[in-house]
Amino acid sequence: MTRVRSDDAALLEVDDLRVHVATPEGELRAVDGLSLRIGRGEVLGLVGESGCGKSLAALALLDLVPPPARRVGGRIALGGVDLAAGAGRALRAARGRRIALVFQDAAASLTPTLRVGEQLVEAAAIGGASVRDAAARARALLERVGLGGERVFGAWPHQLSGGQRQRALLAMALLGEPAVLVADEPTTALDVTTQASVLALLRELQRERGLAVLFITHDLAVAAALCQRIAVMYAGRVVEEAPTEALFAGARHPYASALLACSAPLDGPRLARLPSIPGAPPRRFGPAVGCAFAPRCPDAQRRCVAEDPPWVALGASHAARCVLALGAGDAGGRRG
Amino acid sequence: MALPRRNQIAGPRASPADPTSPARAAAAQAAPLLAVRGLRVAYGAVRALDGIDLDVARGELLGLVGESGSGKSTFVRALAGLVRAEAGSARFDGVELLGLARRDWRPLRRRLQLVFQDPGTSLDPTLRVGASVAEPLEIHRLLPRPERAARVAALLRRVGLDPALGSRRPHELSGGERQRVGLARALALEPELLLLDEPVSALDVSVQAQVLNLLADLRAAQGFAAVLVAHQLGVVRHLADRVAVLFAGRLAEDAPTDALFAAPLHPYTRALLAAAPRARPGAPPAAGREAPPAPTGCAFRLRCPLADARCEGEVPELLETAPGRRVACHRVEEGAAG
Repeated sequence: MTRVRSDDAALLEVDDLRVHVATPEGELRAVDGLSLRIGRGEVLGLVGESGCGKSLAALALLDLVPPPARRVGGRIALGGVDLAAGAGRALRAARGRRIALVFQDAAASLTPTLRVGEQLVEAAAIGGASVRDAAARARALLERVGLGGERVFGAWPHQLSGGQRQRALLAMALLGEPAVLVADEPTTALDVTTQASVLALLRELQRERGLAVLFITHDLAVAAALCQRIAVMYAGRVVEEAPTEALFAGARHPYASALLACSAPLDGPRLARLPSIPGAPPRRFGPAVGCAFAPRCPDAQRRCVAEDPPWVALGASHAARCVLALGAGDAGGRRG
Repeated sequence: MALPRRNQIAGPRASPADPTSPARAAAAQAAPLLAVRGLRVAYGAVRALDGIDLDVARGELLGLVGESGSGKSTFVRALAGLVRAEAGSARFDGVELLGLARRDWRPLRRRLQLVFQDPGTSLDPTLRVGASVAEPLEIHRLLPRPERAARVAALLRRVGLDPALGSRRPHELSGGERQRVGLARALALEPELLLLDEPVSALDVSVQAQVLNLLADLRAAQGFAAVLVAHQLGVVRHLADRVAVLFAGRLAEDAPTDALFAAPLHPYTRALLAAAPRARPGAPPAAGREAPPAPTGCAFRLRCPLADARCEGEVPELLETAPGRRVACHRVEEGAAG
C-alpha cells in the first residue's frame, strides 16, 4: 500500500480510475480517468445516462469488475491509504467491511434459497461473531430498516415486496459497519411511493451512522433528493461537479445543463416541447482526443474536438470540464 | 357497485343507419372512439382489473398512471386482445373488442395499434427494420409493391430517421432509434388509436425527450387518439389531455391533466404526486405508509391518512365531482379531503 498526497477532509479518494472493456470493436474506455472525493458523512451523487461508466466505476471500487471489463488504472484511497495497489487484494479485504455495495436488483442480490434472516445471520457471522451475537445483530438491523418481527426474518426473498427486499439489502450492507456505502440505482426498480420511503430510510441511516455514500443514479431528481454534491458523468468522465444547489442553480457544462432541462417537469407550466439533446452518447475506443460531448454540443468550437477540455474551477467545490466554463477573461479564446 | 351491462352502452354508432347520413356523422363525432365499461381481468386468483369504466374521445390522449400491479398495462393488453377479459365491454367505434375472433381483428388492426416499452424485443430481430415497417403494409395489401419502398422511406423520415437505416437490423440501432422504428411501424397504417405501453421507459432521459417531442409532433400531424401507460408522472403530464389513476385494478380518479396535477383529489393521487422526486434541491419526496392493497372496502385504506370505518366496510364508487372529473373516495365525497 502506498501513501500518496491526500486530502484530509476526504474519506474516499478516487483518482484517475480507468476501466476498459475488451470488445470486438476494440478496447472500450468505459471509465476514462474518473476522480472523486467523498468526505465522512457526505452523500455524493454520481449521475449519468446508461453506458456512461457509472456502474462499472462503482464495481471497480469493490474490485468486482466483471470480465471482459477490467480495472486498468487509478488510485482508490480510503483514509489516505491506497487500496487499489497490489492487484486489488486490499480492495477485496475492505469489501463488505469498510466499503459496502447495494445494487438496483435486490432480488438478484439475495440468495433465493436462504431465508432472509438466515442470510443476515450468516453475513453477520463472517466477521467472526458468535452465532448468537450474529443473530442479535441481524435482528436489530432488520428492525432498524423497518423489517422487524418473525414474519420477515423467516420469509424467503421472493415473499418480500421490492421495497422490503431493498430494505433487507441495506441491512445486510450495514452489518459490516462500513464507512462508505456505494449504492447503485438502489431505488430505480421501485414504484415512486416505495422509492420515497427507501430514500427516506437511506437518508436516516446515513445521518445516524455518519456514512459516506456514493449514490449512483440516472435520475437527477432522485439525486437532488438525497445528495449534498452531484458529479455528472459523460463517456467515462466527470464533466461537472458541484454542490447540489449550485448545480441546479447554474450548471455550466452544456451536457449537465441539457440533462437538467430535458426531463418533463411535474409542476410549473406545461412545455410545448421538451429541450432535448440530439444524437446518442458515444462509446470511446482507443486513444481519443477532444471533448466526448462535442458532437452533440450546440456550442462546440474547433478547439473542443482538437484538444481535451480543461477542468475549470468555478467556485467552492464547483468545477466543469469545458472550455465554455473558462472565465470572461478568456472570452477572446472562444473561436468559432 | 352496479356496473352497466353491455347492452346498456350500445350507443348511436351501433345503429344500422346509412353510414353517410349527417345524423350518424354527428353522432360519431360526439361518441367516444373507445368506450370501456366494467372491464375485469383476472390472472388466476389475482384480480388485475376490477371493473374499469373509461372513454377515450377521438384525437384524445389519455394517460394511465399507477404503481406496478395497478393494472395499467393489463388495461391496454386487454384492449389489444393480448389478455382475456373476464367481463365487461370495450367498444372501439361501436365494435366490441373483447372476445373478438382472430380473423375479426384483422380489419381493426389497421385502426388500433400497440407500441411496447422495448422495441428491441417487439421488432423481429431477423428482419431489416425497413422490412418491419413495410410488413403491415404488406399484410393489409395497402400499396402496390413498387410504392411500398417509397412509403417506408417516408415513414422513417417522418419519425426522424435516415431512410438508409431501413437496411439495418434492430440490434444495430440505438434504443431511441428502435423506438422510432416501432412508431413508424405502428403509424404505417394511419391508426385512429395508439396503445402506448411505457413507450419511453427503457430510454435514457435525453433520448426520452426526443421521442416525446416526436410523439407530440406525430399526434399533431395525424390526429390519432392514444392511451399512454407510463410510470413517470412527468411524461404523462407532458403529453396527456386527461389522466386516469389506477390503484389495485380500480380507477381511483380521473381528470383533465392540469386539474389533476394542480389539485389531486384522491388520497392515493396525492401520495403519488408527493412521492415523485422533483428536479430541484430542497424538495425531498414524501414517504407515505407502505401496505398491500386491502382485500375489503377501499383498497387504499391501509395507506390512507383519511381512512375511517366506512372505508373498511364499503368499496367507494367512482363519482363525478365536476364535469370530466371523477373520484372514488368516501372521504372526498364527504368533503373531508379539503
